[in-house]
Amino acid sequence: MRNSSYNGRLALATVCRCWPLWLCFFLAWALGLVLPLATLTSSSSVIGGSVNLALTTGWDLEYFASLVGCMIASLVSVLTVWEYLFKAPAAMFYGSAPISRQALFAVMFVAGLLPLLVIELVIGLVILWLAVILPAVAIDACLTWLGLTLGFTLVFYSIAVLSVQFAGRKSIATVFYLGICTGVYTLELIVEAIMSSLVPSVVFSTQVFLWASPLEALGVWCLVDGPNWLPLIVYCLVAVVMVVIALVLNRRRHLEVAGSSLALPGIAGAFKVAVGVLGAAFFGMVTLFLSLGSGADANTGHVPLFDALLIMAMMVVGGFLGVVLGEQSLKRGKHALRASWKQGLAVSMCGAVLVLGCYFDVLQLRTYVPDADNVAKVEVTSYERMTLEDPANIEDVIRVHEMLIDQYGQDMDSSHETSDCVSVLITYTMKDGEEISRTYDMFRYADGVGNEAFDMMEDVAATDEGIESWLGDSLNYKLKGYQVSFDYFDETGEWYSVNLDSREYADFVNNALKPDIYKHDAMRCFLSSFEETNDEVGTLFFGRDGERYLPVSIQRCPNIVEWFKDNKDIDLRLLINKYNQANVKYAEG
Amino acid sequence: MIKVSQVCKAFGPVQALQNFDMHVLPGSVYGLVGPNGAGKTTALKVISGAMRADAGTVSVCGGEVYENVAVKGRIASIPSDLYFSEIATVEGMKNLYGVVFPDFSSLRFEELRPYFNLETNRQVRSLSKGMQKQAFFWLALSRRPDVLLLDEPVDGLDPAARHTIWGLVMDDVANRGMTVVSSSHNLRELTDVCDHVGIMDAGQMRLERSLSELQENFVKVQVAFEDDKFEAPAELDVVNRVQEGRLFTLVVRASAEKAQAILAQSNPMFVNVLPLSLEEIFIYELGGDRNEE
Amino acid sequence: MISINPQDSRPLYEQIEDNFMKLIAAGIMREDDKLPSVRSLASQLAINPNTIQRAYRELEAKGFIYSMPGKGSFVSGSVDAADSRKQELLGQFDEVSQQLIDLGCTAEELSNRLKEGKSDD
Repeated sequence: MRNSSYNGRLALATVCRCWPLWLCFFLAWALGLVLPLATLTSSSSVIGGSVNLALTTGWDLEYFASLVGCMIASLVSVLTVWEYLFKAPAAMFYGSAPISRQALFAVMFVAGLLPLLVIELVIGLVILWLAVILPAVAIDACLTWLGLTLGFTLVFYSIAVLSVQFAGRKSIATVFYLGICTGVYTLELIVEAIMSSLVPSVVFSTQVFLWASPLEALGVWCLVDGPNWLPLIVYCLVAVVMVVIALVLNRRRHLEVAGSSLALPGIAGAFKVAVGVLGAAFFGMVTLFLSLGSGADANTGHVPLFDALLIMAMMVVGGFLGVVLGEQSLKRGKHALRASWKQGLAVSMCGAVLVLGCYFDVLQLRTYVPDADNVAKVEVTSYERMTLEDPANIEDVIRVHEMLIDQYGQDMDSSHETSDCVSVLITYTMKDGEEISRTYDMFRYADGVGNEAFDMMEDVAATDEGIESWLGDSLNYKLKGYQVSFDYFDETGEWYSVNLDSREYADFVNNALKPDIYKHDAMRCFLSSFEETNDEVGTLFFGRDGERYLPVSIQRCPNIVEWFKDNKDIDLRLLINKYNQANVKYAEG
Repeated sequence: MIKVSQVCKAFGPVQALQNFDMHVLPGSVYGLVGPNGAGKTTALKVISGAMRADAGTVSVCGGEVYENVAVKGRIASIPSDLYFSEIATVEGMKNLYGVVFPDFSSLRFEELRPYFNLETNRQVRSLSKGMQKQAFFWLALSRRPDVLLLDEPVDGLDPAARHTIWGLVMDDVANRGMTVVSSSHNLRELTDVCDHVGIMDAGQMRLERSLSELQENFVKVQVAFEDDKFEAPAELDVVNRVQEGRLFTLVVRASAEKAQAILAQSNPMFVNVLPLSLEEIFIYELGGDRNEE
Repeated sequence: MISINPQDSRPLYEQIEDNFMKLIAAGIMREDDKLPSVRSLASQLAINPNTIQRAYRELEAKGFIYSMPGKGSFVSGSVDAADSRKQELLGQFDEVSQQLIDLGCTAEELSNRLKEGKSDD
């Protein structure tokens, strides 16, 4: 009976066989975590000098290290313990041994996982003990570390166990492992980057499947903003499912595939195409970065024609090479080129068609403008966000949109100052719920070309409800010349971003502003030092005696004198009260 | 004891076994011979249960072998690729065997120690190939298996070691009725130890006979005729024929008596019957088949 | 006790038989002496036990030995055994002498030879 079910002694023997691995794992944590904690004083920082472990909030580095460490350790453990999947002699030995497949699976599963968990528990107990005896170490943080580490190990170990069922060679198994861990995330990033460079105005929504990438889900959703247990628990349940799938695949596997690349029939083709696609994407990304560095507009990601063609060519080459590489890694033979050139060509051609299609906007994504009748609402974000539902406003926005498209088509010269550029995001929500986003850069020229769009924008904004009452003229100023801006609360407490226009700051600063402000008996005005970098000439502070201050950024404001004269009755006190900044400087003007 | 029936096994495009049949009687020492690439190793791996046949049945000790823990416990297999972990010593492998195989007997292991000139504290990796083989024989025999499967077992062993090992194996065969299947190219040696032979080629079993039957029904005859002409009678199955002047050397598939009787009809000048070695039988048996194809 | 000549092209069982017959004829093994067990001989010579079995069966059929179940095989004292060996050798003698005659030897030559051989004793 012992041999048809789980064989505990074999598990133990397997654990002992791999003792160097467990020792390394133990030492890594002992030296990387326990030792620094043990030698910690409350003001010293460890691990590069930038982290203070004393407070619970200072443990981010340790948690991330745990994530990465568990990911690596799980893979290495599986590759070492499950040797019968990779080495033919071992496969034949266990295949002819009196042990069932399930029992062998269970034995190897336990033999690879248990030592990791036990070591982590031991380390966890040690640091808890340190937390008790040393005041500088927080108990909460240690417990969190322990929980996270155990959880990460369970998840990544299960992923590794699933990954190795697909392959007969450790290198290929590693590829599958990394693929499953990063999941869709990496692919999304790459695709999004390439597509937005080829069809720049279209906003490609990202992160369709947040949770399809275990590494992203656990790294981002567990560790950003402090440990969040929900994704970890969900993934532990997913891990159980993965182990079940792994067991099913394991039972179907022919033991003699140990040593050959892929363990299961039928996935060779998909593997090659996947590597080909990644190759194309990689080459495309590299070329894109190179061309961005050499002359394309970094702000917009807009590339000149020649560079775009170069990207396409490189993607074709990348696709082809990728498929050949995939074939080579499968077969390890010299005939990889001969065997796979057709597939390589097919992948490359698909890549070329895709890229050409996007570049020449075959689907007319770039020039698409929705029908005003179908639009339920539109959200325009430039300096501020406006949500417009009035059909007349929507039509105006659509006209602005069309103008922007025209401007965009002409605007391929990259010799603008980036300061004269306003980024506009237009998001349409259609009546059927669909959302369409486009993003454009509006350039402002001294000779007035391209200002039409600006004028349209201001008209739109000006007529929208809620803003009309007081922004009116000032919005006109906003888009011409330079601005000064500050936050403003109206009577109802609503917060607006106000842009003021002015021309001669010297006058204003030295003469107009101070005396005017002083007319408000509750106000004093302080000027900090002027800096002529980035068009910002200084920060103007409004405030009460001894209280918090509102920073106002002055950017060469010619008309502010007029504005202040017209709008003297704005109650800046409200602003001050609600403004919540702790570290504003107080300087004598 | 071992009954393999219509087994097919392919590795990708290569068909290693094709409608392969094999029958081994209990207590028999069966020699599996065939040219390189015939599929001997594959056949042994399928019988041991390590590989699963694509089609056909493999039964050992009365039960299908694949995933049959009880049956596999009675089979010991020594492949040509030996398994041992990187840092294991012979002692370590002994412990592993004790854990994996329920029938492993430490007592028997100690009993056999004097026969093997091995230090058990040495790493298996550091031993020569021949000594590694000896160590694995030692481990396998300590299990007292009912079936012993050997793939090129005595390659790399010196004559003394070979004698010792076969001696031990024969002891178990005689004492416990152990069944042995051994694949080998050393036909000379197989002649001593085997009582049955299976000749396979290109994934198929060509010929399965008891060794004595094979040797007695396959002879080489030298006949000479005065007029140096000779037509073999139809009822004589001549596999090979060489003429040197008046002397004809024939390889005939018949017993010595039958061959002589038939040839006497042709009134030869001279008749001499010689026995054939197993190597020669092998070559002529397979060569004959190839010529016929 | 027994040795096998690998160069000898005769079947193994014949060689073993022959070996024992010589030992018995020479008086080295006498009546009721025990022959080695099949198992020990197979192990010692590293050859198949069936081969040993067959040799023993042939010896028993020819009357050289007898077997007792559970106890083993023993040399028989039967005169028939020596007799049967004699017959066998005479048969071989006939064959050889026939060949000699075919080659041109005369019966007289052969007869003289025998006499000379005897007188050499």
